[in-house]
Amino acid sequence: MSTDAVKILVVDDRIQTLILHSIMLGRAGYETVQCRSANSALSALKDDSYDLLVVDLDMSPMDGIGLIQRVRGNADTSNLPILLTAKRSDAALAKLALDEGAGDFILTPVDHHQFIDIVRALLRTPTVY
Amino acid sequence: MELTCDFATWRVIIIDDDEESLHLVNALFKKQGIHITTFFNVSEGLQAIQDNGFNILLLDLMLPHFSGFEIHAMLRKLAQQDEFQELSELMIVAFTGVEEKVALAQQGKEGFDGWIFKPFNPNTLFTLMRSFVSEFLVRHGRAPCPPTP
Repeated sequence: MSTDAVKILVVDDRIQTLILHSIMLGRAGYETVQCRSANSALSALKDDSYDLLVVDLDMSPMDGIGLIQRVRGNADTSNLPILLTAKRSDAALAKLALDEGAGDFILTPVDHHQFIDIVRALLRTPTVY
Repeated sequence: MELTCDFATWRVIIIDDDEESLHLVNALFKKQGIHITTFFNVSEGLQAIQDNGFNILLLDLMLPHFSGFEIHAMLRKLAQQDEFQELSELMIVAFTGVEEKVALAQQGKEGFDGWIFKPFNPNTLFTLMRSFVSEFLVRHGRAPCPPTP
């Protein structure tokens, strides 16, 4: 897939990971938009279309799983590929997020190459939820 | 309403993987009574910006894994969004060697609030810091700390 027109929404309430993940995606040629909260992401998804969602698990008041459930529950975004990011201490919860509709998850701090490989795989293989 | 602010109340953060530079700047700033926090690690430094709030970021451009240019560009991008309001007044100063500025100027990619070149003279360092503070006051018409009533 060409990365020219691929737009990724990155959602994280921690500026450090929001910035570093966005830089990694930018280096790989993807256009990125950043949101600090799940509610802000839901607004962004209403206003524009995206090819992939990168969501952090540990956010408040709505966490990553809550956001995934809302995205899957909306007909306009129900099939949007989603990559969940999570701290190592939340690995068990991240695995559960796969049942809620996350396409895959990666533990932070992420390995740059592994992160981009997962993004590419999710973009390459659309799934119907 | 006075537009002056005690320089000692400014909060400065420096992110640089050069241990020698960090220790030197830290000692010089503390001697002047300026609150400074130092980080070797980009990730921890960015988190501190979110958690603690700072007025001036001195950012090394040649960091491992992530360049200061990339960090600067992303901080500027986020600062344009309402939900990252704490970044909107953050002054970002490139803390680097002369070569990087020359290279950037040639590419037309400047955009930092200022430059401090290494190696630096302590007097020049504080002259520059005062100029950054003055620039902030001119730009915003107020100090970042509560103005003196």
